Amino acid sequence: MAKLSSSLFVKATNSTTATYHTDSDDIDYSDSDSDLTDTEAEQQQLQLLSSSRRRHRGRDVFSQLPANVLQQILGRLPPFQMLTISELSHKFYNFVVLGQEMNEVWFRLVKHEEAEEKKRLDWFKQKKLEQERRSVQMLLNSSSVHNMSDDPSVMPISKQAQRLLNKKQEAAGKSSASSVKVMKRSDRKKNWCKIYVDSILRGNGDDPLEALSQVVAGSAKRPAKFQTIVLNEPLAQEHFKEYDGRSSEQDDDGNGASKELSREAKTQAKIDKRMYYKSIRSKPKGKKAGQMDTTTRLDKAADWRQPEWSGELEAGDY
Amino acid sequence: MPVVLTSSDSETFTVDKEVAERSILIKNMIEDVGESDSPIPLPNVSSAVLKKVIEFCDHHRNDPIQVQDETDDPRKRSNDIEEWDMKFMQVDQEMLFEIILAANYLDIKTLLDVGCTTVANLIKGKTPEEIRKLFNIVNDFTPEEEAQIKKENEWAEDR
Repeated sequence: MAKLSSSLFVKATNSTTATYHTDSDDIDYSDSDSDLTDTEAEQQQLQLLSSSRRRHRGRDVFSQLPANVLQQILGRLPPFQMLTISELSHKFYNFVVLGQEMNEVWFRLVKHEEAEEKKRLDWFKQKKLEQERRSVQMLLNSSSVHNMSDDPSVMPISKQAQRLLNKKQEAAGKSSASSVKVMKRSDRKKNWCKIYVDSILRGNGDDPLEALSQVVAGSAKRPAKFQTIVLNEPLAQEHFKEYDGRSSEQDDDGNGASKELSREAKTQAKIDKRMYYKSIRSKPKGKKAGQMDTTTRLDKAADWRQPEWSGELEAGDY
Repeated sequence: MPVVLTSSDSETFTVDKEVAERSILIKNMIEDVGESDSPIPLPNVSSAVLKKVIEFCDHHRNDPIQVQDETDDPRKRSNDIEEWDMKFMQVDQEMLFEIILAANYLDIKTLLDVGCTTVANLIKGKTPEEIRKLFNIVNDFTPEEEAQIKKENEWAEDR
């Protein structure tokens, strides 16, 4: 039998350079009691092998593996599957849950969670960046449409857009690091409403982003449709024109009305006076009341002139 | 110089020294005994399994021997197997576990890795019941115990 198995082995490893032979090659089995030929012996060998396999088939070999081998197998499983192994039998429960393997399970669970979280954040950041790129592209496109004929204002707008992008990216980085919030449907609706209203207020109803692109820091330009009211500023004379016109008519009619008018005019004059003093008294930033700016002071100093000396003054005035 | 190995069923195999020395156990034995013609007994390995082990070592004779530290950390291992190794491991379950046990006994790191990875790949994604069926594992839990353990591990099931 040994001879047979060794011959099988040589067949199996024919392709390799190493040569295998057994001591049993030298033994002459023809002298044994059995009169088995080679083929019969082969068959017997195969039968024995298959019967031994059958015997082992129902055996639980996995549970018989030594601890270090089990450890290596479990080490190659995902952390959650390691817990599944503990549900197999008492032996595995003791091995995984009560043994040191649980530490490994926890460690790998934490690592797994961290990796998942990182993956999620990376994905979110990438999406956010793509979104920003798209919006900047839109801004640039709209600005280029408005400045087709080599307008020098193209550069400031694109710079502005770049600054806007940088700010947004920073904000996105900060917000994604803390927590990721999905915008509600109602919020989205509100946002669109806001954009729409903004676009109307800025006097551009076609493209909401177009109006935004035209906003330049420090710009004194204001849309014609938009009326601005500055508080604490005396009203222009035009404002009283209508009133004045009416009063002149009334003046023609009688004295009582003119008296009333003069009272009104007095009140207005008082208000104007008060506003004037108020404007004088109002202190600039970082200055005490009544303290002048350096520029104002210089202007005043420049205005001051030394009186011209004359013979008359020299003679008697002092 | 050839080395003679004797299996548990008294079968002898003559192999090249560099092939035999893929096993750390045999390498140490050769170093301890010195060069001699006497066969090295391997009482825990049957001839069928030893034949497979020699075949594996012969195929990987030129591979660099793995450093201990690299394989010790299970988190650094990957579950990828080379094509030849995968074909080599396409044996019945009984043989697979015997190869793993032989690799563990003979201290052949690469063979043990391939064997463990093959078993892990068999287990992956299976339920406890499927694993029991696969490896003929007897469920020795009482229904109460089983329910308790399932409850303990419930939190991990959604993942």
